[in-house]
Amino acid sequence: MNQIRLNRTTVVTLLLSALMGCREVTLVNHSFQRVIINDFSAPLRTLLPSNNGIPNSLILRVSGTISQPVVLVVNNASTVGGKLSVRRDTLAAGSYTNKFFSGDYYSNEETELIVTGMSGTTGSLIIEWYRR
Amino acid sequence: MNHNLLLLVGLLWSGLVQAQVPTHRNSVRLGVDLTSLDAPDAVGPRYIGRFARHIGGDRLVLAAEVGYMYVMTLNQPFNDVNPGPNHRERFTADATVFFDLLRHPRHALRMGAGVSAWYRRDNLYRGASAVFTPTGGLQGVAIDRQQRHGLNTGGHLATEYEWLFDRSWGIDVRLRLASLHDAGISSMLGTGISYHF
Repeated sequence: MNQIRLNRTTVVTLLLSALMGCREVTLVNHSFQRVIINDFSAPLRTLLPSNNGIPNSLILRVSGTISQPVVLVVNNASTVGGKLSVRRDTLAAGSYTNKFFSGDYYSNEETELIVTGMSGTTGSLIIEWYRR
Repeated sequence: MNHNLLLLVGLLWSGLVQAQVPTHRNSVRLGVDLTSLDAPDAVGPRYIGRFARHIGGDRLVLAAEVGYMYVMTLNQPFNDVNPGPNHRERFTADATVFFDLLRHPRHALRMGAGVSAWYRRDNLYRGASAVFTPTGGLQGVAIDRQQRHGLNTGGHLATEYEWLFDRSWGIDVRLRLASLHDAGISSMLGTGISYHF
């Protein structure tokens, strides 16, 4: 019985020591936004909110069909003294399935996406975009 | 009359089995826990495998277990757009020290505590907004989601009752509570079958 008590005490001490060292290890934590657009009659603006942690890339994944070219512009919306354009891409008319645009990006501030279709553009797009 | 005879035979057999149950030093267990996660609707089964070392005449049990669970919950459409379900996945590892409150060869009522390390993979719906044209028409919908992978560590409390219905086989019910820091508090109610050797 004495041996049991000794073992139990030792084990409990070890468990408590381990608990004191506990913490969370986050490997992935990013917000992403899925934008579904059916109307290109006016520029569409949407914001990706700021978050904790420093990303190292900005990624856009596009699927859908469009009848005219569509321009994608990403701005750092929190830049003092005006927006700072991060990237600009043009989608030619046609169909897309998981077309990726990516580049280095290190800001965790609020980021803006503007989608602008040429006059008379019809169709629909699904754009998933995020910092990672 | 037949019922009384059956009861008598059962009691005699039960006593005989009890007297014959040896004290095993190890056990393996397969079970399932109904486990709650960090949202009210995030409840699902967690499948578990456990190895335990029984020492001190089975009064003290050191247990190590691994588990897996996946819960998918649906979300309401936003402006007729399905924002997609929430996905929660857990790979769990727990180490527990149990003390048996019953001095009985076939019944065990154990109380325990230990450490937990749970790896989570979440993909969750966080909200949506509608984008309108200057004329007021619905131009599009923006759905915000969050993806999170990480290891959460913490502690847990556990209690379980086990009945050895055979020399080597037992069934159990158990209740556990785990605190996993940012992943919140999870409660578990489960059952399992174990083999002692």
